[in-house]
This record gives sequence, structure tokens and C-alpha cells, in this order.
Amino acid sequence: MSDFSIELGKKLGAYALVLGLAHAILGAAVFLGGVEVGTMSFGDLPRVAVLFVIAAVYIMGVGSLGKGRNEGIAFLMAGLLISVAVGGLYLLETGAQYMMYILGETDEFRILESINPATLLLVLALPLLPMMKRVTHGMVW
Amino acid sequence: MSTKTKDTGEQITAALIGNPNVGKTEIFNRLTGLSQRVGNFPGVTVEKKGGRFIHQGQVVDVVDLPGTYSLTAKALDELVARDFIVEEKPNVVVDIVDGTSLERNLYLTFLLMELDANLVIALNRWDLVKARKINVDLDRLSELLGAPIVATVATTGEGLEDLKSSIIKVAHDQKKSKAILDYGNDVEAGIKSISAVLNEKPDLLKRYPPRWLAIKLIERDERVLEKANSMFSGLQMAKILEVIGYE
Amino acid sequence: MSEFSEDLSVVLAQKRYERISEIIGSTVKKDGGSVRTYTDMLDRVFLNKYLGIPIFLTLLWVMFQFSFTVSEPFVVLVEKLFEFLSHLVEQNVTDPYLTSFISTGVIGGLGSVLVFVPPIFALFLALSILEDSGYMARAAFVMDRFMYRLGLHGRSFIPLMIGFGCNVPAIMAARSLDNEKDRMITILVSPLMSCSARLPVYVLIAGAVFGSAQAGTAIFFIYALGIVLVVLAAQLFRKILFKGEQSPFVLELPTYAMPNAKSALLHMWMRGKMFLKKAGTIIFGTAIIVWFLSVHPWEATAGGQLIAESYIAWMGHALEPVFKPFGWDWMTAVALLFGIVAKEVVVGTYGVLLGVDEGTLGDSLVANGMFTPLTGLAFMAFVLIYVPCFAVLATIVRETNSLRWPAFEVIFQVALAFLVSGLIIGVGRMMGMS
Repeated sequence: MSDFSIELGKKLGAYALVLGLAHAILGAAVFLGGVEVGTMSFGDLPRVAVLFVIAAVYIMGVGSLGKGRNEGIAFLMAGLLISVAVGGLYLLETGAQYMMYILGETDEFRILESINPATLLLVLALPLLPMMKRVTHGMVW
Repeated sequence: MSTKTKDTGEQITAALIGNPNVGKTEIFNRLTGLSQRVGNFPGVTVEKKGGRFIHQGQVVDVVDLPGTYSLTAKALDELVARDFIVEEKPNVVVDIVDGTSLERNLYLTFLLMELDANLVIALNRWDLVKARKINVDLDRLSELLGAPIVATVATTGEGLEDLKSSIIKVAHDQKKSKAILDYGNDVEAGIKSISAVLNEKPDLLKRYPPRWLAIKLIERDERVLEKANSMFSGLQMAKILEVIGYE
Repeated sequence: MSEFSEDLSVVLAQKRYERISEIIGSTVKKDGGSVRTYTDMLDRVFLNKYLGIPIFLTLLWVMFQFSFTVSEPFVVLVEKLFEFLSHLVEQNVTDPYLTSFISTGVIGGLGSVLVFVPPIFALFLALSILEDSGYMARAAFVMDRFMYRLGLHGRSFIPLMIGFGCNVPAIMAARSLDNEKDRMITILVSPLMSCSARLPVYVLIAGAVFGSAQAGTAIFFIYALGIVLVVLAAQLFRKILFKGEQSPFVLELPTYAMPNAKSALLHMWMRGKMFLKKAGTIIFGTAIIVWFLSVHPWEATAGGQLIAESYIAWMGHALEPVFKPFGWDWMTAVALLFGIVAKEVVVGTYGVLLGVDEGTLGDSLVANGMFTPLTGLAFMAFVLIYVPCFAVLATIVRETNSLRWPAFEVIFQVALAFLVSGLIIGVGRMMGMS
């Protein structure tokens, strides 16, 4: 019935749940609490929405992971891919902001403020990669 | 129809056909190797590849038809493929099917069955089928389709010797047990009515499969309608047109 | 004998598929519903009925944010280059007419459009990556399925996704639709999809009035607006103009693949090449015409300095009343007029009229108080909708074999543009914005 060990699945599921909740809480803090984190503030609806989307993807996979089914890995993979796209975008944006600073177009560049927490969450998700690779060993595209 | 005898020494022509991207080219290459020649189908800018292989002392000429999803008169390469099968009447038509998307690939197979082609089905990407743990009952499938099936892996060459044997066997067999698809009462009645008119031209029926002609007329296939117009009298055409509902 | 309707070949096809399903049902057994390939796995998520659209919107937003923000420094570099060239010309060329021609006409007109090469190429790169990865087909599927759920039928989205680059190939791709009614509807709604030509206008205005952080979102909003209008217009056309059956919907989903840098860059370049060619010919030509009109009569404008006295100003003021309610001035009126040739020319026109002397074009727009966030947004929407460019009009004439449809299209789009822009302004004013 299951594609890989349920024990491993439960661990992955817990990790996914934590990641998902982290994104959701961050989003809620910015949206509801008006907290300003990095480059995000209340007016930045899309960035907040994106956090919720990633949270949803991770959380929807927890059930399947707990049963040790491949489908759960799918949600993890997708969540990671979207995180990479979003986190990568924010990194590039930081780079672009820095270049603008060098070109003299903007007055200041504060590196700490420019790092978006979504990127940090992406980094936290990276250890999942080797685990996922092991589980889906031998799979074809 | 080209004659087939049970002895070797007769020229056998096999046409390869299948959906795009199923591995047809790879199979063609493995079958014909260095004997490949490239040309054009007569009168059109569609490439025609030909070659040959020798198996069990039998020479087989292989023609690579364009990869298509169906055989309508709407697209040039479909028409070219269809014309080749209908007019040149190759001894064998090898339908190359992607085992990982049977639903889509078998559509063409059905059209070939309607064309009364002598089919051999090559179920390619067998390795992927196995990797995805898809379970295909080849015997039953062959029975239901009325044609021999050979599982192949074009990228490694697995199954190709069996394919060659199957081609030769089918070319020599006169047996043509085709699975006929019942299209439902309305359509079947229409086919019967049209066939009645078609029967008035027996040499037409010798050249083309009668049921296929009727079906194409019902589908209002432009090419077949053209041909019918030139072969039948005004009265006969009127009868046909009445059946297929033209004003 | 029973009458066969013209869709009989569809009936026969259906019968064949039914039989195929039967046969496969009894001979092929997949292993208990668990997924075995990366493609199937990922499709569980990307085609998920709840997550499908949010993921699509997310990736779309990422695409636009990327195109705008990451290309910004490069835009600045190109602007500085043209500024430098402009000064070079002014210092070394003595004949004022020639100076004006080069500095205002060529560099101002054409240069102001070329400045947007970085965002355009960035967009093309992002599009290529999404296509190469195999995701675009899923996006089209998800949108079409969404439309189906809303009771809106029609497989419009596959050809329309091509429209993201340019509407012309999208209209031609409609040929793949067998059903003539589907094809006509797709042709008529294609121009509502934002194309790469409109991007310079969006980037310019959004950058000017919304600032770096919000601009990407504003652009995303406009693209989303385009999609919404496509859906609504398709519905309208289907109900009123083209009643009838739709053809069955079959879409082939390719396997996913990791996009590789080389082919993504190659695809980006292929599309980018077309833009550059267009820039060198149509945009350049029209920019020169705009320049000509802006410096003549030569004496009245004191050698091109007083644009307010030129022919183009006269034209602009004539049109101005039409756009006054939206808060747009005569320069905008004239920019829209010439933008009918090609949407990029809107930017080129501003470039000629405002010059590249101080700072960037965007700064000039803000400094002159020409746009507020509200009027800017309404303007972007207007540019999205108002008229198909010449190339698209020509294509519609060809594909529909008549002049009636292109004429209808023009009237429809102009009316819709005024309506939507008006709505935006109206709602905004009600909310207290100016």
C-alpha cells in the first residue's frame, strides 16, 4: 500500500507541517499583525499571498506523507520548486537593488533589510532534497 | 493487391506508421541501418524514407510513413500516409505504439484496422511500461485488436528480431481477421445503404476496402467524396449524398 | 434515412475512443493508483483542483516581478548610455536640425524603446523557462478547466498562451482549432492578451508612478486583467455571436523536464530577435515621423525647443478633450494615437516629446505630473485594450478573410477600453484617490 516506509513518511510529514506552518505564520504576521519583515509589509499583498500558497502546498502533502505514499513527496517537491522560484527571485532582487545602489540610483542599501524571510525558509527546506532523492530513487520523468 | 506466396523470394513491403515521438524513427533506423534512402513522396514536399532488411532469407522493403495522430484528408502528411497504404497496398503495416500512452496511440490503430491494413503492432517503450509497473496483457490485447503485438524497446533493440519475424509471418498469412467496430445502429444502417450503392461499382470495391469507403463518405472526407464524384453517376451520387445528409 | 449532423466525425471518433477505453480497461492494469513518475507526481500538485490556480498565479507573478525588478539596473545602464550619446551628439554636431534629428528623433524616439530591451528579454527568458519545463501546458489546462467549471466552454487558452509574446502568432495558432466558431472567438479575443509590445509602456508607467517595490505587482495586475477580459469577452462572443457546439477538448501534456540554460537562452533570443527587428523598422520609422511633427514648423518651435508650438501639439490638443476626464494630457493623447501603429511607439512618442535630457523618461513623467497612480493604472489598462496594432489588424484581416471583423474588433476594443479605464478611474475616485 505504501511506497516507502511509513516511519520515514511520518518524519517527512512533520518536517513539511513545520515548514508549512512557518510560512503561514509569517504571512499572517505580516498581513494581520502589520509586522514589517524585511521587504514585506502590509501593502505587499502578492508577497504575502505567495507565502500562503507555499504553506498550502506543504500542508496538503502531510496526510499522504504520513501514509508513506509517493503523492506526499509530490507536494514536497512542488513546494520546494515554488520556494526555489520565489526565493531565487528575492535573491536576484537583492542583487538588483545592490546594483542600483552602486549605480547611484538609490541612496542606501541595507543588506539585512533586503533579505526576505521567504528565502530563509527556502534554505530551511533544502535538507529535504537528499531525503527526497533517496525515496524516489529510480523514478523516471 | 500485390500477390503473396508462401515461399520466400517474393518482395515484401512493410510500411511503418505511428504517432509522432513514439520511437518510430529509431525502429526504422534499427531495421534498415545503412540501407536507408531519403526521397519524397510523389508530387509533395513530404519526406519519404526507405530501406530494407533481410531476415530468415526474406528481403523486406521498409517505408517510413509520416508520424500522424489520425488519417484525415485535412493534413498533408496524413493524406500522404493514407494514400500510400490505400494505393500502394504494402504487404504489412507496422503500427508503432507508445506503450505508455496507449489511449492516445490506439486511435490510429483503429483507423488502420478500418483501412483493412495487414497490421503488426509494435508496442514500444516497453522498458518504461515495466518501470512504471504498468501491466499489459499482450495476448488479450492482440486478440481484441485482431493483430499480433510485439513488445519492443527501440533504444536497445530489444524485440526487434521478433518484430521482423512477425512482419514476415503476417505478410505470408492470408488470414485477415480484423476486429470490426460497431458504430451503433444509425451509423451502421447508413453504412449499409451506402455500401449498396458502392456495390454497383465492383472494381471500386476491389481497389478500396468497402467499409472504409462508406465510413469516409459518412465522415464527409473531402478526398473520398472527390473520388466518388468522379466515379459515380449523378443518380448514384445523389443517393449517397442523401444518406450522408448533404443538402 | 436519418439525418447526420455535420459533427458526425466527432461521433465516430467518440465511438472509437469508447471502444479503446473498453479494450484498455480489460488489458491494462496500472499499479493501484500510486504515482510512478516525476511527471505524474508533480501533476498531482500542479493540476490539483484547489492548488492549480493559486500556483499558476504565483508563478505568473514571479515571472513579472523577475522581468521588472531584476532588469532594472540594466535599464539604468542603457539609459545612461543613451544620455551619454545624446550629449556627445549635442556637443559635436553643429547643425541644429541634424542635432535635433539624432538627439530627439533617433535617441529620444527609438532609444527610449530600446531602453526596455532588458525587461522584454527577461520576460522572454522567463517564458522560455516555463515552457521548456513543461509547466505552460499545465497552466493552459488549469485555466481552461477553470473556465469549464464556470460554465465557460472553449479551449481558448492554449493558443492564447502564445499571445504572451505577441498576438500575431497566437491568432495564427487558432488554425489548430477545427471548430470554426472556436477559431473565430479565439481570434477576436487574442488582442486582449498582453503582449511584449505593451510591456515597455507598463514598465515605464508602473515604474514611474508605483516605484520599484510595487511596479511588478501593478504589471501583474494588468496581465491578470487581460486574462479576465479574455474570459469575459469569449463568453460574450459565444453567447451572442457564435452560438453552437464546442469541439471536444483534448490537450497533450508533455513530460516535465529540467529546463536547460542553453535552450532557454536560445528561445529567448529567437523571440527577442523579432522585437529588435520590429524596433529597427516600424518603431524607428514611426518615431521619426513623430519627431518630424514635433519640430515643425521649425521657426515656430524655435528649432525644436518649443514643442507646444508644433504640429503634433496641435494634434494633441485636438484630441485632448476626449481624454481629459481620465486625467490624461495632450501628450498622452498623441502617444495613444501613434501607438496604433505599434504599442511600443507610445513610449517612443514620450521619448521624443519629453527628451532624454534630465534623468530618465520615467522621472520626466512624474516631474511633469502627468500621471498619478490611479490615472497611470487606468492608462495601462487603456493601452492593454484600446486597439490592436497594425500587425495584428493585418493578421485578423488575413485570417478572417474580411474587413468586417477587423473593423468590429477595433470598435469593440476602443469601446471596451474607455469602459474599463472609466471604471478604474470611477472606482478610484470613489475611494478618494485622485
